[in-house]
Amino acid sequence: MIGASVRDQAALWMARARDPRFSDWDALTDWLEADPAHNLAYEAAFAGHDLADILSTAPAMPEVVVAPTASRWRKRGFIGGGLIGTAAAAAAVFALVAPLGVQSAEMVAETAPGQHRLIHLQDGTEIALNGDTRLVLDASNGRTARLERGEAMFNVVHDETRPFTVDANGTRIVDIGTRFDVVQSTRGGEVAVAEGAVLYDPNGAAVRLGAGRLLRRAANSPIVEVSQTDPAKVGAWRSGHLVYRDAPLWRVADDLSRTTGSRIRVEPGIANRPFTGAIVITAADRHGALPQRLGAVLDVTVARQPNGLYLKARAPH
Amino acid sequence: MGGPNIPALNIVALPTPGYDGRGDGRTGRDMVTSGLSAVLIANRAPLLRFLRARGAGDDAEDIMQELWLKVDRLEAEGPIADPRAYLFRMADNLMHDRVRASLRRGHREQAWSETGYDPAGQDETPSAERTLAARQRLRQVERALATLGERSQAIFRRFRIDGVAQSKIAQEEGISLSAVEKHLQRAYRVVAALADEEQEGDTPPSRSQTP
Repeated sequence: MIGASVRDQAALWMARARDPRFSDWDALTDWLEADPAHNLAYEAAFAGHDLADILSTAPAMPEVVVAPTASRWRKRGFIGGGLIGTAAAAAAVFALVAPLGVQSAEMVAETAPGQHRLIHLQDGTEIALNGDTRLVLDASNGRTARLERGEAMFNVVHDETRPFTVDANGTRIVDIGTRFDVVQSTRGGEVAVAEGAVLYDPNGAAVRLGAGRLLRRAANSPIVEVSQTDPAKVGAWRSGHLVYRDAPLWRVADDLSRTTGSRIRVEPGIANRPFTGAIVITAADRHGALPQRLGAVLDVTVARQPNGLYLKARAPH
Repeated sequence: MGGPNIPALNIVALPTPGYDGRGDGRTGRDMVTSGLSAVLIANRAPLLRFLRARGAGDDAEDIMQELWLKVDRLEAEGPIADPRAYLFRMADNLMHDRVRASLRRGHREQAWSETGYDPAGQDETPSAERTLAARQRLRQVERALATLGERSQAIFRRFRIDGVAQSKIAQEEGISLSAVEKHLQRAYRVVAALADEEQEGDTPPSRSQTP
């Protein structure tokens, strides 16, 4: 039986040794050598360290933005379910069949802004396309896709011998048994993992992204940035929920454009302003109720333009 | 990065193969090797001592070899601020991995895979139960940590999840480094007890802790 004081000491050594700047390993060795029970307690603390990793999946920020009418919108979104029904009705469901005798057949799946589409592959893999998206599938093997534009959520049936690969933003992503979301736009790309893991750029950086990881990379930049996201919210756009943590406004505008079908652009000066919060798209939004709501939630002035909306910085009071 | 730096040794020529007196036949490639390998050789004895203290027993030499191979594969990674500490950390993790692996092999394996608990995160099989179990575990951990004060919780999150160094946290919080350690010690005590309970499985958890 390990005593309480040994457990206390082990917890302290664990706290010290997990610090990246810890260097007094000889003192730790001395302590461990003093009694075999010390190592057992140290291992228990190490297991606790592992266990605590689960905290990374908890959203550190509230999910709904604190805005005057946020709760009302949210409620409406859930009751009305506006886009959910519309999306389901609009979803084109079809099976991908490789044409016989064709070596490398490409199948193009494309959606208009505001349109959702669900693709079923023969192996059971599902790909949900958001609006304004173009995805090219290699029909000869059924395990390679190229996201040319827009956003797609992949629910991959894992096959060790035939990993599913997605090319986006000039980089390859390989699944390790997973559900993940990929965004590709002229400004850059994003990969968010809901379950399992993917390998980003397997032949280069080989960044392994587990559930709840979000990787961003700006176009023409070699720098990738990895942060946390709520895995339960990855791909939530499919039910009309757009959830962000520190996402640049341009990204929010891109998503809104894809999801609602109306073209939304951001003034360059505020394009990189970070936004944290949730936007629930309702049926009313598709019929013109969006502008006032967006103004409040994103703290911008919304100007109507012939072909969409323009988000500008609010004039100082 | 500050810290107690050992001057970066990029390329060093080692005296002769068999320098460590083991004559393990790994010659030929040994003439030129990276700084990290050199630090490994220089710290062979204290590392072995550490491995034994960490429960390596008769396997210490084998694990040392494993460490050597790992270091060998790391060559291209660029400079490391404190190579000696880096090697001890590798050794520490290696021993921890072995414990986890043997636990997985043992009879507890089933209980773990049933609840989806995999501290190594190596089981990638997605499933609804796994997600559910993860949520439950998250609640357990949060509840356990909630027995501590707000400050201990916040400091633990900052350290464990945000990966902020303790010296930085001390600055942020305006407290001493040892005060930060104290907060973290309490948090580690709590999560260690919880991990213990998980591993006990069906047997009643020992509740001897809680100071």
